[in-house]
Amino acid sequence: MGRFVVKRLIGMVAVLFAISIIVFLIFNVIPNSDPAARIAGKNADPDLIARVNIDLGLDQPLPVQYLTMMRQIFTGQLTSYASNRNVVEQIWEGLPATFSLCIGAAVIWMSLAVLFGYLSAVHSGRFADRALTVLSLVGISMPVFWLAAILLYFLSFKVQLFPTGSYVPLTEDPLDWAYHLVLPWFTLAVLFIGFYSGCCGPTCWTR
Amino acid sequence: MATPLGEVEVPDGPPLPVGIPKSQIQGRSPWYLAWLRLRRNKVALGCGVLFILIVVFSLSAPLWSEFVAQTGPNDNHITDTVVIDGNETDIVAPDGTPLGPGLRGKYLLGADQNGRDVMVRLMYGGRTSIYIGVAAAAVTTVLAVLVALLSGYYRGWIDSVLSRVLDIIWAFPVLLLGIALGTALAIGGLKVGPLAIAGDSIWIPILIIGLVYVPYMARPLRGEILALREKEFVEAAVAQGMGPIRIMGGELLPNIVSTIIVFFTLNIANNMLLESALSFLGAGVRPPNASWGTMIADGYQMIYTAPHLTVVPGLMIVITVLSLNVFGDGLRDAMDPKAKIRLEH
Repeated sequence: MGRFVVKRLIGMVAVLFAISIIVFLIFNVIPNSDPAARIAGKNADPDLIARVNIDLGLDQPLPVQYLTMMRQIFTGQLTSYASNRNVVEQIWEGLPATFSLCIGAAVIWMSLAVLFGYLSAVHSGRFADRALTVLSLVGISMPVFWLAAILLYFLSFKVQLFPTGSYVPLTEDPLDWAYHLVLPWFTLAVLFIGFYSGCCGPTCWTR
Repeated sequence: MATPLGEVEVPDGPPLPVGIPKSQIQGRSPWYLAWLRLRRNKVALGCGVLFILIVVFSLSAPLWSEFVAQTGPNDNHITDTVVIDGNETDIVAPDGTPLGPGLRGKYLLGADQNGRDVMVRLMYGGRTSIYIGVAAAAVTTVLAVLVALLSGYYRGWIDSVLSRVLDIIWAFPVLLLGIALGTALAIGGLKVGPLAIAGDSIWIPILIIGLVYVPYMARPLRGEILALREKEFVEAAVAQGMGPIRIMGGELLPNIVSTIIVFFTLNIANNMLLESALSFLGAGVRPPNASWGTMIADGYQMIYTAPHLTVVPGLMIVITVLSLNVFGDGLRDAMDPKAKIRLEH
């Protein structure tokens, strides 16, 4: 058992290492996106671009650049050259909104999936089961961004039931926070109810 | 014998179809029995027919474009007018609002902000979306079957290496990897040896979508092969002196064909959803080419003034993907009702 865990842990580190290299390379092979040219502005003279390159360490060989990036990641100093801000800080900033969305949606889809799965098991083969199966299948067959757009149009623009956007922090006003998130929560949940209710329950179309 | 890791139970045979005289069943091939089961599933059959109808609808795009709408999918008509009920009407009103849908040959589904005929674009977009879905599913299937056969047959270090490679792809969120590769490859194109693909080629999204779904198909297939590998018929084949390629192609592959067919069908549905998401985010099909995803992306900018631009292509995606999902589900039940194969996300 101990050996198995160690083997798996070594495998995990190897996979993480490979992922970091792939991520580094994907964004390094993008041509025409020379960050130095972008920072130096339009019609910058080659000297300036060269100086920015040296500032950012882009004149170094790729392995050195990779090591620099990894060192900055582990020391939390990674800085975005586009916004010139610390990446960890930016991630922290986005965290509350992301977690509010994900946790709320997960609570909804888990409860509804359990309910749907229970109902279709109890009424196995009968109308309720078939209807729920159809609903789940429709849910997983929709592009979620499209569903969001349609709901936004009908429920926020036409009927004006929900706000059209923006995010209110939980600490500021819990009610307003939930009010702004109801529509996104349910939109996300529609997709996952299908997966988690087992989509096809015990019976599926044949009986 | 010790059971290998990740073993999947391979049923000895699906139960026979019910309600059919025994004389019709005895001695028939499994394919015929699967067809007997599928035939009873009217909803799945209907969805299969519906998908074929959508394919025919999309393939007839040039006919509609030539004889009814008389405009191409990428032709702009911002300043043109069209005669409706005897009145000359702007295709795009001065305030930027395009023509809405109506019963007529030209602009049946209205126009978009560039004065392009939505019906024509919808048909051409369907060709692109379905083509990407099917071609990417073919890429995924070929790669996944190869990986599954190799790691399931050889096991040992080959399996370890291939499984780790799958782990790497698996570790990325599908959409994120798609966007990263999509933007990276769209600018420079792809050049690997003699193979060169331009950045605006439809093959960039096809290869990306095909690649990201490989682990999702290869893992369950590998499990099946690992289980089959332990069966007596493989031992018998080895004893007869068959080579690895003959055993993989002639003994193991035929036993997973039904799984592959089901996966292929469900994979097309998934691919079409991913294509629409990538195109919506600008990392898939390049404008001005139409696909249902790019049409939603174009229409979304005008959702408050011209919602039909968003609703129509989205509905087409839902109907197509739904029909494929239901048909694939019925196919799975018909081919192997006991199997728990399911394409994960």
